[in-house]
Amino acid sequence: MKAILAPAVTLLLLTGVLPTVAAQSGRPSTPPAAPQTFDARTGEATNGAQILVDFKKRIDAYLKVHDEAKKNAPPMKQTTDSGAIKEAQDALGARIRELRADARQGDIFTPQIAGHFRTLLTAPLNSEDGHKTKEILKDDAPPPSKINFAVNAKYPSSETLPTVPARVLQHLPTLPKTLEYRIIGKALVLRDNDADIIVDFFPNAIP
Amino acid sequence: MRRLLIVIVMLAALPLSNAAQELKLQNAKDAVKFAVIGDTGTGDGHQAAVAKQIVAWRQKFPFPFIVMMGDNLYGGDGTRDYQKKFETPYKDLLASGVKFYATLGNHDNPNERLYKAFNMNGERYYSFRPENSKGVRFFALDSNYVDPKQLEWLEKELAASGSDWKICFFHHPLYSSGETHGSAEAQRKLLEPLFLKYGVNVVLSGHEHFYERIKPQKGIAYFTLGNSAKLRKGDLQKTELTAKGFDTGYAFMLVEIDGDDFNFQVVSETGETIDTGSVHRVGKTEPTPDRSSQPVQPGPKPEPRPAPSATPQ
Repeated sequence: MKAILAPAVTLLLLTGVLPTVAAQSGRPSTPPAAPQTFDARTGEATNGAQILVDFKKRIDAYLKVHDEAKKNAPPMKQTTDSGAIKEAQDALGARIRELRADARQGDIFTPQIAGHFRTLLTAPLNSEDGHKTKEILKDDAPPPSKINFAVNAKYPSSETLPTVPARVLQHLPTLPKTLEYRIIGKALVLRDNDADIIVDFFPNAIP
Repeated sequence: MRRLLIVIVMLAALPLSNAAQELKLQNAKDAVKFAVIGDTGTGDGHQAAVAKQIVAWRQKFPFPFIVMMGDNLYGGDGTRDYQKKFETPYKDLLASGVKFYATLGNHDNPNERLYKAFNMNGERYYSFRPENSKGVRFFALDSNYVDPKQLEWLEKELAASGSDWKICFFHHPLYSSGETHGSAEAQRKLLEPLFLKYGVNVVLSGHEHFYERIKPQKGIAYFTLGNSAKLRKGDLQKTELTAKGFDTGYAFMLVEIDGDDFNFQVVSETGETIDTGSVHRVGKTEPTPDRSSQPVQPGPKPEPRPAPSATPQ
């Protein structure tokens, strides 16, 4: 097993995948504690480094769309006018929806990426204090039935944004500021903070 | 006869009531003064009642700013939500120039960071030094999303800060005796080592809808105050962590930092003093794994006025 893991870690570092995933924020990233090299669902061998390269490529592609959408939306800037914040957020969301009209679930979390993420999530959730991490996921999460799990859907403003356990975040690739992970029920959601929309998601992320 | 008895009882209760409503802080001229509120954004009568008390107490204790422990807007973030749950209840305070410094709770849209009246500089986490303050810096964190990026920022900020008083505030309490939520242990594992390494003195949080003063942990004073508009009656299961608790009413906290003393007074929505005391900063020593570089000692502060005999404890 070690023989399989070691090259994977080396490859991750050599290819600069992890640092570049986080490079949007200008910080070096810490590699996940133990990148796995098996697909959690199928048990088939996968190459974690290549998968993360692919993930980063897809994130970069989304950011291009986001930046393009920003050009035709009111600026997201500090203001005393609370209405202007919502207006800018919703306009950005609407523009992104137009530009990503053809986007489908799995465009970013492809089956292979989703499988790898499931593996990454196994470590913090199956660890000795994994039950505490699972408790956090339930602590203030909205019922999944309240969320419209759909690409480009707006996150309902009446629902809580569930806390993402810090241990989980230590195991996933760090995202640029614009994006964040949220876990609702068993689904992992990729959310655009500025536009308040669901960029992608995949079910059964949590074992 | 019954009426007379009621009058006598009321008169007997007067000194107690007056004593409980006395300002117990030194109110020193050059002290850094502020108030703490948490879990405020309901827009209901309880938020208004606490706001009214804050205005009244500010007459005797003129503080220039308030720190907010998150859940600033429950149930929506439209213009009407900002108005009903922030601008209207705190209208008088805003009009008299009081600044609010917010942090994000799990009920908040992170885009609240752009709302100028929250003074978050457009960021989910930030630090600030109050105007005219010497040696006091606040660090507002986003405890909903403690990712490596935020931890790196915090470490950099704490390391660069030469402030004697380092005060962190964020939504989830690292230590709590609440039945509903309890201690945010996951966040604690990552944040506490930094607090110890860089000498954080005081940590303020909300999330639990009650007030709890925690016995100092590894030299750091922890306060939870998440009942400035929401209340979870009976949720505080007092444990060995609890130094003082209050889960039967709504509250806010007044603080003055005077030299090496962090004096606090917690007041209910009816104006009763719930808790009072002082955190004393012992001074700079070398940090160790179990001790802050600036350890604190909690204890009663000498009263500037005659100590009331009926202070609620």
